[in-house]
Amino acid sequence: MRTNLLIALGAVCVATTARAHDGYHSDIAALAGPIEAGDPVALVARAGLHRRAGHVMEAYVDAENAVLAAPDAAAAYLERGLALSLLGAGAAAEEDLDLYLDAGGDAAEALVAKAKLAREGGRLGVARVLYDAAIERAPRPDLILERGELDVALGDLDAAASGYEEGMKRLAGAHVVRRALVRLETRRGAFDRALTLADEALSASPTNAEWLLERADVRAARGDAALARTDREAALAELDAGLARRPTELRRVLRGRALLSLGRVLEAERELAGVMERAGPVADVEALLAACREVAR
Amino acid sequence: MKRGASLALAALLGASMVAPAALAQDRGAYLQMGTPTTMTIAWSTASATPSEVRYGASPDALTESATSAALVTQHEVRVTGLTPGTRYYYAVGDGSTTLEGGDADHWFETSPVVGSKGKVRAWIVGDSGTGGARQAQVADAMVTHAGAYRPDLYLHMGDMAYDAGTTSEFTDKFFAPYQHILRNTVTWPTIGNHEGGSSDSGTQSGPYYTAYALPRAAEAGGVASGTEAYYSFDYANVHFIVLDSHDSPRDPGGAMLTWLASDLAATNQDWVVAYFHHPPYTKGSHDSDSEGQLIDMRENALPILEAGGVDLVLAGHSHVYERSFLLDQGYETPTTTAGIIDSSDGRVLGDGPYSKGDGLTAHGGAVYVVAGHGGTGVSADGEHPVMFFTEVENGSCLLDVQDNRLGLLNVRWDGVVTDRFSLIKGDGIVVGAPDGGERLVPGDPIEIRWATVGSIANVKLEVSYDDGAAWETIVESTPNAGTYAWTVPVVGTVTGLVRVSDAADSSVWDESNAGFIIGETPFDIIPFGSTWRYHDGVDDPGATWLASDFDDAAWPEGAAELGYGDGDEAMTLLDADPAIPTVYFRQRVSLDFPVIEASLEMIHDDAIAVFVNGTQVYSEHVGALDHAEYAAEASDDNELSLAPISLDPSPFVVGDNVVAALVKQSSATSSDVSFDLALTVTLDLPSPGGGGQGGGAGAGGAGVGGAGSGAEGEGGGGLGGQGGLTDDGCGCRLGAASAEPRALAAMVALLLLAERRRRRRS
Repeated sequence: MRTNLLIALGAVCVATTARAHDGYHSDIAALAGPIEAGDPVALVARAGLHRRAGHVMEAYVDAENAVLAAPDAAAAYLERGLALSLLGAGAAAEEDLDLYLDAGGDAAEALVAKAKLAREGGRLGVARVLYDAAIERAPRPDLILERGELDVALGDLDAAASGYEEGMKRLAGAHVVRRALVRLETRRGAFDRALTLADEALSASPTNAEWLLERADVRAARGDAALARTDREAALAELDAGLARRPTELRRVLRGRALLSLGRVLEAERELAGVMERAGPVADVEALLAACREVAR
Repeated sequence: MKRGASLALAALLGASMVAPAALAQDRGAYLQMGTPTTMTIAWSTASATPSEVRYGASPDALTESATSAALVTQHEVRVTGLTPGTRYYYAVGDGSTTLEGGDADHWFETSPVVGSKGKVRAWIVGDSGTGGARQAQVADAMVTHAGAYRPDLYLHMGDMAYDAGTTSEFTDKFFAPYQHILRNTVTWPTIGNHEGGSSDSGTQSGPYYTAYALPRAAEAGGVASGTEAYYSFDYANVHFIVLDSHDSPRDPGGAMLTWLASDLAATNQDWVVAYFHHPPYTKGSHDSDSEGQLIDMRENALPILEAGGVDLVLAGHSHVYERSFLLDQGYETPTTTAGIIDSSDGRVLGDGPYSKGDGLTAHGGAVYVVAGHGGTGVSADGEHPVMFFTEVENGSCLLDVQDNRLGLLNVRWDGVVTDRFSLIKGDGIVVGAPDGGERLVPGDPIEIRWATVGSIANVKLEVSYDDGAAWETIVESTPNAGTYAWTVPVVGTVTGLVRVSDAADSSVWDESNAGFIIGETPFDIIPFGSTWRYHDGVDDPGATWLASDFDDAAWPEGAAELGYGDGDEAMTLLDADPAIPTVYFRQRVSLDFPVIEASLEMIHDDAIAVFVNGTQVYSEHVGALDHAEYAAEASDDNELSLAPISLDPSPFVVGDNVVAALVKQSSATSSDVSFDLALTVTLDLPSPGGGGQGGGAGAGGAGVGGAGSGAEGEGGGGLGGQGGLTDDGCGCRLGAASAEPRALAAMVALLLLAERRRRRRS
């Protein structure tokens, strides 16, 4: 692989993709001329446009032709690998993504795609390593969560906690990471840490019903049933008050959760079923409904 | 001298006017992450320096400071401990040198207390980043429309720096053209695909993420997202949610949409406004039925947003203006009309405003706006079935929220308001006209118009001439007919408001979202391109040619630009050999009120002298005035005044005025002559209350104000055009009963001429 070609191809790819201003179809049309002239850079650009628009087969065809036209162009392998991964051709995708990475390509999405393929293929240890590499380059909240879930699946709760703690630091205490960490710490019995995290969230927003319910779950797991009930009742009261003026389905989901946690299963199920009927499977409504039915059974 | 040389010189002179200290700045000061008690001021410099912001209650008393000793080129200073809803003046520098500010133009205003129900105004722009003339026109149109009611927030829908959002593109195509806005208005952006060419949401790196300081830890309200790629913030009683539709995973169980559900469930605000780059509904330059990001946002994000009670969803990407009906649960692909829950136009002046339940109600409907028309080329591929209004023209939107009323209007690049809708929650009143930005003519009849939700039998109408500080009753009680004929009083104001309230319950009311203007000043009483009487002969017209009572009836008439030799003249004058030393121009204007300020702009080649009622008010390169004398020195080719030249207003009188000018050749062999002139005056209009108030004529009277806003298609009560025209169209009569149709036509003509002038200057 010639590095200068890789760089040039990548740069031109970006510029070509970005230059057209008149929409997807115009962007595609604008690349027709260069492609007819045999320009592999344009093929890669069009593959990227197709892929982002969800037209995966078209993306694959363009990337394939780009590889054939310019076998040394790393960006072509990245695009083909990404298209193949979306098409479910895992092995071929990984091969292309490896070619891209071996050539010095540094797009985190190559690592993420490889990690997901490994995870889906049951190679969890490999996926774990790839997530580390991807997060090192791009500490996205979704990657932090996925790595944590992977650690849990591997039975390594310490690693999961460590990964979430890293996420908390690098992502300014992101809500979704904090919540995952609280649940994990509760699961592994690190109640003090879980409570600290929940209290931190509540100190910024003392009436946040979701965090009252999270803290209640920690307290309940620790055996502080009375405190847990206090939190749950406070959450329910807050939600009932809020719903009077802000009757949103997302609040009703939380209300269903509060009712369920207080043992008012039928009310919870009624509330959640109503949400499901009116708004579909938003937030955790499906899981909570299933929990209601499990308890009722 | 030739025009090219003239413009080059103008550019050079313009550049030399920049203060030397400012040359060290790559980007002027701009505002970030404003809250009720904090503000981040950012700027960038070519070389690394420490950072200092000095601030205070007035430009002359910047008594406080916030500093950072770190040597940086991208400066971000967070000022804390501020008072909510308060204006502060500021200056930025490196601790020893002030780079910018310390004057009346550099100020910021902290957000009002969260949950408060006062007026909120936001400017909505998408896909602007060309750095071109149309982008500037869009901004100018908003600034002109807004007048004294400048937006509190600048919401950018992405694609702010074509082609790839590089550092230099950001500097040249976003920060430079908007500097006059950014230094006062907090910018809250979302990343577009073109910014994605250089910036990465995953790594939080690249020019976009370097330029902006955005909340990650709920610094401005909401729930901590952990990333600047998507975030939320509160302003007054509005919760704004900003999503990343380009570069963050959009799957339903992913981090962004999980955060979204928690954030929505937690808000205690009355309104939710969400925005992101890729529109869920569009048939503009993009198609929401066939493109992945757009489909993802519709199918995955909208169910959560609507379950959380979203009221308004804004986007860009598609280079068009599209505004939907009131929608709910239109998630299917391809989109049909199934999601329309209110197929009316949402206009107070039409079918009436959209209505939702009080508070924040899930699935009560939301309006979807595509505002991808901020500067780049526009196009469309048909009309989307859920869109009420589509316009393939550049422009931007203004969002107004007050208590339980929300309104949005589209200001086209040429200043015309082409669409507006209103949304009300629960019962109440929505004022439709005048609603802000109108220019009303004293003495003209207009319709005050409103709509109500709920049971209101009679309404009380009031007017304020000072932005609501004091109110005068128009009528104590009148039937709630939605319209009331009112004669615009002979007063001067740029902050006029109308308030409509329930006559039986004064707590139910609405007022104009922004101020209207009565007897707007300054008036362009002579625009560029206007018609002059002229004398271009070899004979001397005599010393009295410039007097008010000089009889110029025998002089021919012609529209400017007048002259010869360049080929760009509208009227060609006599090109004699040897060149005639002096040519003369006269124009008569009539004024009903005293002039308190006047300014002049000109194109001249070579020398010029200007007279008002016989008094010389300006000259350049002239020397002796005698007919046979050539200019003292040559001008640049078609020399253009770089900025309005302030004049002594004392020669102007109430009544007829004569503006006269002479242009002198530089020599007998000079090849060209050019003349055009624009004169703007500010009139001393009667103070509110002093001139009497036009009496109401009862409901049902015919309004004429709609002539200026016909593009909106809403009939009367709209913009009245630019006031102060005589019935001979000279642009200056302000009589108390000057409502003749010809005056309106002249207003339109004057606006067109003003537009022409602006194009000529650009």
